[in-house]
Amino acid sequence: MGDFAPRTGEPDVPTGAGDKPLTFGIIGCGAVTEKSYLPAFQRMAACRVTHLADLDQQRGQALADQFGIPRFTTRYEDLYGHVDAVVVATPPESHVPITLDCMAHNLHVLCEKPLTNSTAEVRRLMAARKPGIHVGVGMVRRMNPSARLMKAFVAGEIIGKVVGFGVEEGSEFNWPLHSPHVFRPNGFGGVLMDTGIHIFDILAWSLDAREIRIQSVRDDNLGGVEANIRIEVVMETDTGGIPGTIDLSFTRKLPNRITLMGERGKIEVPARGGDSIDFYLHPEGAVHTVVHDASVPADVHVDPFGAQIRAFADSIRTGQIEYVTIDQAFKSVAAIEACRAVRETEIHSWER
Amino acid sequence: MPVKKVLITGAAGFVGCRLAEKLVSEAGYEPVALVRRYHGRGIPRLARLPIKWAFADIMDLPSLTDAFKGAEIVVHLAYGDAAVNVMGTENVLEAAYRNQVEKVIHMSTAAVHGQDPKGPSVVESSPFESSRDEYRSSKAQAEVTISKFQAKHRLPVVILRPPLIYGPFSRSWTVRLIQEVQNGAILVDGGKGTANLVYIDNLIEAILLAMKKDSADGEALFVVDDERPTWKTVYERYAAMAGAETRLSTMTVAEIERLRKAMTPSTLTRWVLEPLDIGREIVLGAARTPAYRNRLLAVPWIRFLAKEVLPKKSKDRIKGVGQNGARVVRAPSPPRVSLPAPDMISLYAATSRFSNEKIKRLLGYVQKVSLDDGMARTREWLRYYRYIPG
Repeated sequence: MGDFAPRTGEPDVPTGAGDKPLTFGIIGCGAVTEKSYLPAFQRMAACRVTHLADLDQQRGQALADQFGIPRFTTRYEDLYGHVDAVVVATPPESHVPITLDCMAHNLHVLCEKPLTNSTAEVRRLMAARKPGIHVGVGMVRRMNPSARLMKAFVAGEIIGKVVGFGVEEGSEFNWPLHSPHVFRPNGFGGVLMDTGIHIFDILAWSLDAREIRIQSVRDDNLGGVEANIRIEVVMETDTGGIPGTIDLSFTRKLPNRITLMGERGKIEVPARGGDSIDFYLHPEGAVHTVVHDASVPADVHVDPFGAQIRAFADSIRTGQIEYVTIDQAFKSVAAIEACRAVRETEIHSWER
Repeated sequence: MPVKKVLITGAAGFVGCRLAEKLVSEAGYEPVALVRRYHGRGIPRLARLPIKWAFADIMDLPSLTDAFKGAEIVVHLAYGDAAVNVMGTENVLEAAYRNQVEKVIHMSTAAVHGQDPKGPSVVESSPFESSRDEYRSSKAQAEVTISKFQAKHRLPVVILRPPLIYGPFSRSWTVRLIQEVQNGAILVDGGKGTANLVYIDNLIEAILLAMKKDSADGEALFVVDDERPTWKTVYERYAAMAGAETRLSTMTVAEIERLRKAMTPSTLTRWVLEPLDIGREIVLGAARTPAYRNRLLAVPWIRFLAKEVLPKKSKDRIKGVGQNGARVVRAPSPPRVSLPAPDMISLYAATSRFSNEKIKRLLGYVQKVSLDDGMARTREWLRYYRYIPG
């Protein structure tokens, strides 16, 4: 994804009389499908959802009725041969097996994050790749204008060489879950998998890191899944290592901010994505500017899910890859694995 | 050693989460968190623990009865509106009885005796105060329900009546107070009233004792810390935690009520002027966005008014432009000092003390966390949760 041209995900029109909309099936009818994917698809003429699949007949059929999706099934295998591509939005422990099955049946796959929690599983997916079959990973935060601005600032050395970073993202968890996967102690639950995977990916991408080196991890997991975690990490780049800290929480209201400190200034970026970033020049606080992406009209709000779908669909049409690939996702999965290997439990004074 | 299954209703609440945290490390007990669904701020806190989950609504007796299967002890912490507090409690008792639960620990409140009970030392046999406050009256009614149930069925129940529970995660008596002192708190009558507090871990200790011993079955017990600081002491502690620029002021009850009356908007303001003001702000807000401004200016008579009639000052105000073309940004309102709510005045002015003699006598209860220690732990939690700097 080398270009910074925004994809707003705004309503589009078919590009020509000969262009047939790409047909999609969505496997998994949980909150992200209801709140993000289906509304995004509704705004797109170039892609059309024709099938929904979920184990929960009642939930899935209700969603299909609500969004006018012609077909619902409790078996994702029923989609083979009937759609061009699928979005896999099931609980994360099923992402790899379902993706492998769909790839084997020549469906393009856009798999929600986290792709998986194990580098061995990523390698399985890599080994199963087929020519002409696109497999993308839903690292949707890259599609936000703020993320693209962050990458542009780093690439253009506008704040000088990046010498450090800090990430603080947290709030009281209130995502309307339909399945409790984020709280299951099965290796896929916890704030590290839910949020950390985004943060590792966005940092590695914007800093052009070749490796994410974990130095220490302290979390509050007491036999279930962690709600708070603090990670000391170094992003290894071609010009050296960039140290930083990552604080994530499901219980504390944190600033929800990525700060990149450079030799000449710093930028503050909304951790969950936004339309602008804050840019400061040194000395500290001398100049503060809010930077918007000039190519995005002022009254347009970029829908990152729509932009992600469009990028994936365009890749299918043109063959030019504009989505996050399995190879690119490998780094963040490896970072998660490394975190799990070195984690220590932090017991606070009020918990003893 | 046999392990007893302890089912906690309201497990995702303030007391429930801490009880679950303690029980996972308490030998001989297996906690089960009863929640309605995986939603609410306490869920991530519970999910850190190696606990089992059960799903039911205490207003739905069939599903509750099913969820109680296998439970040996039920700790009933769930509360809500009057129906939940009364009917829900009755359902909990019924479900426990049907499942032959050994004991129910019911969390009531010392507030059933009112905000300012008579006498320097209030004991458990002191009369309930009839109250228009829905929470207090329904918690009192819940205790009556328990009493009636016990008269008909053999089911040991221990009722605990804590007063004001403070400590990490306490919204009412920690978070609210720290936010008050940061904005400027008002002490009623100099803060000389008595704060009957219990630190959360001390309450948990009482629950554990009630679970382990039979000597308090069928009884109601206050759970209150030995120290009885004044409200002035309590607020000064929180003010010290909050650091610089904290202000504590004092007013008499009469002064508070006079000020409250002066601040209350008149009927004309509430019914006419305030809605007009809100409408004006909405229009101004819309007119400042380019899309809506363009739509408005497309209307011929509005365009005429805007170009030919409106003075420049008004046009600039609509556009949000100040003098010399600088953009005007509305300054954030200064934090407002909050007057103590009317129903809290008597609480803050009260000098009565709830006695903890009975729980010490029946259960051998000993307070383990002192006020100093409790405040120190609370300060660390407030720092970690970014309520105070440090």
